[in-house]
Amino acid sequence: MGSYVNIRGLTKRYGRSQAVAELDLDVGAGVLGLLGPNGAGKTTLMRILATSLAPTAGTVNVLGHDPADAEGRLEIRRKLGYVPQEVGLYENFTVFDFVDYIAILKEHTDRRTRRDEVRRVVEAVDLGDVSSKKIRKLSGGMRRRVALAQSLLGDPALLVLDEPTVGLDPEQRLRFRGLVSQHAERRCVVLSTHMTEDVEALCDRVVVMNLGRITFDGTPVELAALAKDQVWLADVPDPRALVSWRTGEGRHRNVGTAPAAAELITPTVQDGYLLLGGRVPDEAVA
Amino acid sequence: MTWHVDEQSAQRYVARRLDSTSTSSIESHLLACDRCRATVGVAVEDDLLAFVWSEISDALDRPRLGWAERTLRWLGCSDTSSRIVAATSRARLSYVIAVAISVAMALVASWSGGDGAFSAFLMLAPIGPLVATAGAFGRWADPAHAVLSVTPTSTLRIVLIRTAASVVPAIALTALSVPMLLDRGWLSVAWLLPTLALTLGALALSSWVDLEIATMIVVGAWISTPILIRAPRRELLDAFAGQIQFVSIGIAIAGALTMVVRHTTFEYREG
Repeated sequence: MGSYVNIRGLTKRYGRSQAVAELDLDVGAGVLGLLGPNGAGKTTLMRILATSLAPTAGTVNVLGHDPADAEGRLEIRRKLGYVPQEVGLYENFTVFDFVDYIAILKEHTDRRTRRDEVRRVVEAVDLGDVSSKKIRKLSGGMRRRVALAQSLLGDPALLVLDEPTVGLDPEQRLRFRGLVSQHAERRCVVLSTHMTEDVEALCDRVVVMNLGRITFDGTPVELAALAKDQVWLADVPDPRALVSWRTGEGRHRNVGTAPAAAELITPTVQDGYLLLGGRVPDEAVA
Repeated sequence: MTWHVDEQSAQRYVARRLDSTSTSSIESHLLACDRCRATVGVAVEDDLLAFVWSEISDALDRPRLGWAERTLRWLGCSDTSSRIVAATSRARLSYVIAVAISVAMALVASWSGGDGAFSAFLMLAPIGPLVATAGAFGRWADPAHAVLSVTPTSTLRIVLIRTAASVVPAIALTALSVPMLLDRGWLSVAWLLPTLALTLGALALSSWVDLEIATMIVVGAWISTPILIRAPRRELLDAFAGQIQFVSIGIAIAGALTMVVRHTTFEYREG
């Protein structure tokens, strides 16, 4: 499948407030990272892609179907995996029970194959040893992995993950990246995150949103390149910098208009993203 | 060990063609003999072995069914329906409390014999089932609703199954009050049609707003109406005997029709 998502003129309003404004987006195979501050419209966009929310205006095509059409929406949901921003689980269920329950709702009706599939996804997120443990006894990171497991049921063509790495420790995050990379080889993953490290490590393409609009659409390398010659180290915070913080080595990393003879360093995705947060350069809009 | 399982015996054992004594003998021997376990292992077909392991895993991983789910399956409910019902227990305490209040009011009515307590009972009786309705779906009742609402299984089906599974017991519990009020004749069950109407009304309203909000609106309207119009007790009881029943039928039909017409909004929310 060439294109998994096609969006034209997408608008979503809640009363007078506009969460998404005239957004155009095409998404193919691979991992798309969605970055943006709180209130940027990321979660609204994720919910629209997951067919949880209808747009106010615009056309949306997901996996070749229109979610506004009942038959089309059903077809999308059969090939969709979704992890919402707030993970709600049933405290009195075990890990296996919960994922098995979602598998039932995802029309895995044959008991044997369904249980095999549940075991597969539970093992994939490294929860095999605690599959019979009650969810109320799990840590936050483990709960998030339960949510991730249910999204992998049926090997979905489209994975929509809203801040999936919140609460995961570094090792779990690494494992998550491996899982998503593997899945994305033949599929489409749309991943919303605040963690620029996840974008840098995982995403083929990154879209930055702010106030409901796309402010950048390109590769992580291109996003980092926005900050070329605008990141430098100094012994003290530079008042001319847009953002400055103390590093682990005791020096200060500054992002902004660098003074002459500044000790320039290679920018990261985070630097490019921070610069976008300060302004909306024309050249940053795809 | 002086005796070991030969290849022929191993094959007959795997094919279950040995008598029970020989089978037991071989099984006891296998517990202590690596060599014979290897011999028997070679005789087992991979497919059969995989099947056996799958059955063992299945038995170990099978969800432990709660009493509600076991009862539903005994009554003939499908796996899907009984799991849907079992998943939300958060609302149970709430509606049990609501039902307990209305049954307590029935007790007071029966003891006092007064119209005040009885009319209060008739007003309170639908609240328990309505609270049960609020527990059918939504952020409060179902922590996983965000995931459930995008599965292929119809959200409306989930809501209706859970509503029925909660409202019916709530009504049954409330009906425990009926024997205490037999002196009131058929008025002791005059709360049933309003309960149906208010439940369907809340469900219909939930095609516009969240189910919890819809239920609160309906409960608020139901409780406040006699207060706002300052209906005297006698008139209220007369209304339960007459107009309220007819209005309830109308609301129930309108609610059901609204749900049919607006069924897609349960699957695809606009806000």
